[in-house]
Amino acid sequence: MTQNKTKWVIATGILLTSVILLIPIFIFYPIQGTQKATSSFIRPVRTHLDHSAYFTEPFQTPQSVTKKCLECHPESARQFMKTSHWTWVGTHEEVIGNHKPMKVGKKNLLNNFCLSITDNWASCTKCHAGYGWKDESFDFSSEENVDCLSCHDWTGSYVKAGAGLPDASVDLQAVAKGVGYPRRDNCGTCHFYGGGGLAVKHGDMDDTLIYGSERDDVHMGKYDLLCVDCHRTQNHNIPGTAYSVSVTSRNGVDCIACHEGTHQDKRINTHIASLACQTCHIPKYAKKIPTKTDWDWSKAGDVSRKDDPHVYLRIKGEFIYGQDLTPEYYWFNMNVDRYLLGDLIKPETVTDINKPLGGIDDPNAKIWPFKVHRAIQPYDKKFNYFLPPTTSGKGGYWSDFDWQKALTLGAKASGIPFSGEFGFTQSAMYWPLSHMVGPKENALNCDDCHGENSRMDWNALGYEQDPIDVGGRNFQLKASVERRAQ
Amino acid sequence: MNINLFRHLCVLLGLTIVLFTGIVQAQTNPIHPLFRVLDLNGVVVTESKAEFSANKTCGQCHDTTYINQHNSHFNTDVQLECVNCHLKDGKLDLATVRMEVDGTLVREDITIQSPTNNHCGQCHGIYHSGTTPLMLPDDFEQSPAGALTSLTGEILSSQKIADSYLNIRGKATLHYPWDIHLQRQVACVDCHTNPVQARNIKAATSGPNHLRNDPRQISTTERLQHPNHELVTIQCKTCHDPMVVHDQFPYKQRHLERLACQACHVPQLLGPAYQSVDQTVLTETGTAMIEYRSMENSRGTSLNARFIEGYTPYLFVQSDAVGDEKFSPFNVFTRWFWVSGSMKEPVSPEQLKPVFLENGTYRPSILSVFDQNKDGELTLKELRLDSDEKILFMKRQLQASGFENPEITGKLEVGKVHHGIVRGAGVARDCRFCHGEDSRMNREIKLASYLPGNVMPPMAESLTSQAELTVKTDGSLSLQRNLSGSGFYVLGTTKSRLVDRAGLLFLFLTCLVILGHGGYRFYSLKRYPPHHTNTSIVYMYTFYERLWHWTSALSILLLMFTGFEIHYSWNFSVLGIDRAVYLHNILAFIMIANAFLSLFYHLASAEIRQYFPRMKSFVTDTMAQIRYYTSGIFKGEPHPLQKTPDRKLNPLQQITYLVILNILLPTQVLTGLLMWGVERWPELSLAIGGLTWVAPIHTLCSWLFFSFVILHVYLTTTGHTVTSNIKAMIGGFDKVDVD
Repeated sequence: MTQNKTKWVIATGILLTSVILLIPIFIFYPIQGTQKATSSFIRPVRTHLDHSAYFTEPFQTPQSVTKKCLECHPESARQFMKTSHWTWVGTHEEVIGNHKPMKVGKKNLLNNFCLSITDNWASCTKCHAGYGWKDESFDFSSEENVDCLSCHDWTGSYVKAGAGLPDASVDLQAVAKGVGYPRRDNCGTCHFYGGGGLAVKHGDMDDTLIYGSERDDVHMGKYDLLCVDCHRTQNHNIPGTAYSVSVTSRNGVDCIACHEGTHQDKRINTHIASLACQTCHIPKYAKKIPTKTDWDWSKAGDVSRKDDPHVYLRIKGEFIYGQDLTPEYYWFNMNVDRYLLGDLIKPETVTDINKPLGGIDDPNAKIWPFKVHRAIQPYDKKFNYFLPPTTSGKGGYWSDFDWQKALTLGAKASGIPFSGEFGFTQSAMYWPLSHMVGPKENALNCDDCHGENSRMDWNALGYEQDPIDVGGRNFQLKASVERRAQ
Repeated sequence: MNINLFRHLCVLLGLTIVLFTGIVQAQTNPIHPLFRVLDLNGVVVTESKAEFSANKTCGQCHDTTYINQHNSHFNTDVQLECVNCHLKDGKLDLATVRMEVDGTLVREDITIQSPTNNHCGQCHGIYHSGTTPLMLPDDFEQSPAGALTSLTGEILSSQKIADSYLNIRGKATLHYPWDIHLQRQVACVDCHTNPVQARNIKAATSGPNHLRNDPRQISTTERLQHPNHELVTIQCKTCHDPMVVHDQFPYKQRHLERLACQACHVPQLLGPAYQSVDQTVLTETGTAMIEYRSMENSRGTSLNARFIEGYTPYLFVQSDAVGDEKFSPFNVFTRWFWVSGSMKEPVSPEQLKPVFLENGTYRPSILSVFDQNKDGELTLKELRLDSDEKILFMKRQLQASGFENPEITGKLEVGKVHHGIVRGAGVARDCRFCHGEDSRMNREIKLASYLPGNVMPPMAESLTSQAELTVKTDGSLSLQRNLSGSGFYVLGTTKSRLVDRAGLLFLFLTCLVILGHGGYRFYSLKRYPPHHTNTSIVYMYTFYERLWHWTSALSILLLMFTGFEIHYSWNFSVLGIDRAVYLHNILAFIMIANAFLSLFYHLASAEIRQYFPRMKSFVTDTMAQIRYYTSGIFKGEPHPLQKTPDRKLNPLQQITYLVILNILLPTQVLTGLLMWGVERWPELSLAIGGLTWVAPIHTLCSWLFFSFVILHVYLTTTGHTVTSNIKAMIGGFDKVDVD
C-alpha cells in the first residue's frame, strides 16, 4: 500500500515537473521567422613572393627578362600565347552573318574609334602584351616576345612605347625585381586608356577604379577587390568578354559567379528574367571621368581649329564627351551581329558595328544597359563598305592629312579594293556596361523605369505599354499573338 | 512569293497602327465619345463665343447635378469642375483647342483621363515629380499648398531624399524616397478612391471568398452617368497584412493593435512643419510670422537654404476609422489671429495687409511702434505683440480700418500624419524610440517661443487628457505630455511617481534599519562577546531544498535586474529593453515553475508544516523572537528558539513567509502574467482596469521584493556565526546549539 502510494507520488511529481517545464518551452518557442544568414563574403587570399633576390644583373633587352622569367615559369609563355591577350583574336572560330567560320578579334576587326589596327600596328600594339609587333611579319610563336612585365609590374615605372617595347627610360632590372600578381593598375594601363586616352572607349572603366570610393565601385571601393578577383585567371587565361572584339559570351564573367542573383523582394525577382543585374545596378556610367560618345572623323584636318583633346583634334576630328550619363537600353542575348571588313552598308543609315542581338520575343535576351559610341567614319562610295585608313602608319593620315592616300594605303594593307571615291557615314558601337557598380542604395527603383519619369522607352523595346500597367513581356507577347490569331 | 509580300505588308500595316495608336494614346483618350463644347446656357461655344461650362458640357451624358451632390471636392469651401481633375492640363483652354464648326472637340484634344498625381498635387500640399531635384517653391509660405504641407511637414515625391536640393541633416544617407508609395507607382487615387471602388477593393482583398466578384454592382451605364465622387481613403490593411511581416517585433500583436502604421513608418518628417503661426502681425511679404519646428528659423533666408533637422511626429492616442484607440503620429502647433465683431470673425492676413503694408513696405506708423532699435528693420524679436503699447496700437489701427472690438485669439491645432511612409532601414526600429523616459512618447513639445498679446491658447479637445500647456520662464509655450492620461502603459516610459517614490522610501527605510541594527550589533560585539554553548552539526537543508532555494534566489535576482532595466531603460541599458523583457518573461516562468515544484515537494513530504506556526506557543514565541532581535542579539544572548531540521523557521519568519507567499508573490505573479498576456489576452488586463493599474502594482511589489531580499540577506547573518546560515544553505549542514 505504502509502496503504491510512493509510486503515485513519484509519478505525479514527474508529470507536474514535465508539464511545468514544457509550458515555458511551448510558450517561448520562437515564433519569429528565422533570419536568413547573410552570405558571408570571403576575400580571396592572394600570395605574393618577393622576387627581388632573383634579378641580380641588369637587363639589356626586354626579351632577356622574359627568358629569365621562363627559367622558373617554363609553362607561362606557352599558356599565355594561347590567349587573346597575345593573339588578339578569339580562341574559337565564330560564324558571323554569311561569312565562313573565322576567328575574330582586335587584330582583324574594324571599329568606330581609331578604325583599324592594320597598317597602324606600331602605335596600336603599345597595348599588346608582347614585344616588337610593328608589322604583319610579327612572329606570334616566339616565347621570348611575351611581355610578362606589363601585367606583373608593381613598381608603376613600366611604360610601353611603340610596337609594345618598353620605353627607353625603363629600368628593366628594377621592374623585374618588383613583380607580383596583376593589380588594378596593370589591367588599367591598357583597359582604362583604350581609344587613345583615359576613359575614351569604356564608359564604365577608368582610373577612378584604382583608388575609387564605394560610390564609384562597390566591389573595388568597398570590398577592395582586384580585377582578377572577378576575372579569375587560370593558366594565364583571363576570362572576360568585350563585345567590341567578341561576338559571343564565351569565356565570359558574370555576376552570379559570386551573387545568388535573387532578392528578398519577390517583385524584384520577377524582373530577373528580363533584366540584367547591370540594368538596375549601373544607373549611371562615366560617373567621374567623361567618356567619348561621338566622334566625327569627317571634320579632321582643319588647321584653323584649335586642338583640345576633348573637343577637337586635327588628326582625329570632332568629339563629344559625356559625364554621369544615363545608359541606353536594348535587348541583348549576349551575342552581337558583328560588322566585318567588306560587309556592305547603307550609307544613308546608321550602321551598327556590333549590334546586340535579341529582342522582346527572345527568351534568352535581357534588357541591358549600353554605352553607345556614335561616329562618322570613312567608307567607299562606290563599293559601299567601311574603309580602314592608315593613320599612324607610314604615309598615314596623322602625318600627311591626306584621306585619299591614307585610305588607299589602308585598303591595300587590309586587302580590300578601294574605288577611289570615299565619303563619311554614321556608325554606332554598343558597349554593354558591367563595371562601376554602385552601392545598392543607388540602384534603380520602380519609378526610374515605370510611370511618368521612366528612363525606358518601352515602345522602342517592343512593349505596347509600360509593363507595370499591363504585365511583363510574356503577358504582352501572348496577348499580341492572340490578337494576331484573331 | 505573293503570300510573303502580303505578310510583310500586313506586318508593316500592323506596325504602323501600333505606332500610331501609341503616339495618339500618349496624348489623347481614344475611347471617350466625341462631344460638343457648350456654354453656361447650353449653347455651343463656337456659336455663342462665351465661356464654356463643364457642368453643361459634361452634363450632356454625365449627371453633373448628381456628381456635384456626391463630391468631396464640391462643397462650400471648394468647388472644382470636372476638367480640373479629368483633363490633362486641368483646364480646357478654348483659345488653344481645336473644334469642328459644330463645336465638337477634335479627338486629339480630348485628353480626358483619371486624375493623376499631378492633378491632386495642384492643391494638396507640395507634390513633386520628375528627375529634377526637389525644391520648395518661392511662394511656399503664401500658397495654400505650402500651408497644407506645413500642417505636418509631409512632402509628396517619389524622389530619394538624398537627391533633393533641400539642406537636410545627414542627407547623403537618406537613400529612401519621400514616400515609398509614390516611388512604387501607387498613385493618389489608388488609395483615395470612390466608395464603390473602395468596396470592390475590399471585397477582392478581404471580403468573403464567395463574394470576390459581387454581382450586385452598379452597371457600367449607371457608373458612367452617376459616378460617386465622394473620395474615401482605404486603410493600410486593405493592401498590407501587418501580421505577415513584422516577425522581429516583440509583442507583435499588441504593437500592431495599438500603433498606427505611420507611428513607425513615418519616423521623421523633413518638410517645413509649423510650430507656431502668428497671424497677429505680418512680415514684409504679407505672410504671418511662422516658426517651423523642423527647420532653422531665420527670417529672410529662403526655405531651400535653411538647415533642416526634421522632427519626429508626436504620438497621441486617437480612435482610428474602425474605432480602435491607437497611438497615431501628429504635429501640434499654435496659431494666433485677430478676431473682430460680435461673431468674433477671424481677420485674415490678407485683410491685415493694408494695416501693415503700403507699397510693399511697412507703414511708417508700424515701424515707429515696432522698431525698437530704430534701425528701420523689424527683426524676429521686434515683430511680435509683446507689450501693451503695441497691442493697444494695433487695436486702434484695426478699429480705424473698420474692425470692431478686435481681440487676439489663440488656438492649438493638430495635423495628423498620413504620408511620408518609409520602409526597410528607414523605419523606426529601436525600442528606445518609444520606450524610455526621454523617448518621443514623453518629450515635451515646444509650441511657440512667445505668446502674442500674452494670450494663452485653449487646450485642443482631442489632447485634453494626454497633455497640458505650460509657459516657461523665458515666455515660451510648450506642451507637457501626460502619458498615463492616454490609457496606455508604455513599458519604460509610463511611470507612477507615487509607486516609485513609495517603493524607494520603503527600500531606503529597510536599508536604514539594517544599517542601524547591524552597526549596533557590531558595536556591542566587543562588550558582549557571543554566547557560546555546545554545538552540534545537523543536516539542516536537504539537497532539493537547497536547489530550490538557490534557483529561486537566482531567478529573483535576475528578475529584479531585468525588471530594473525595463523600468529605467532610458538610462540603464545592458541588454536592451526587448531582450530584457524576453529574459524577464523566461525567468518569471522558471520562478513560477520552481515555486510549483517546491509546493509539490512541501506538500508531498509534509514539509509545509514548517510554515505553520505552533498555535499554542505562537504569541510567547513571537514576543521572545522580537525581544531577541531588539535587545538580546546585542547582548550576545543565545537564540530564544532552537533551530532544528523539524523547525527551521522562527515565528517571525513564518509570518513573513505567509505574507510573501500568499499575498506578495501571487500579486506579483498575477500582475506579471497579465502584463505578459496583453499580447494574447488583452481583455484579461482590461477587465481590471488595464495595464495602467496592473503595471504599477507589479512595480510596487518588486520594490517590496527588493527590500525583502536585502532584509533576508541581512538576517542570514544573525545565525550562529555571521556566515553559518549561508554556509548551511550551500552545504546543507548547520551548527546548532545543544542544550
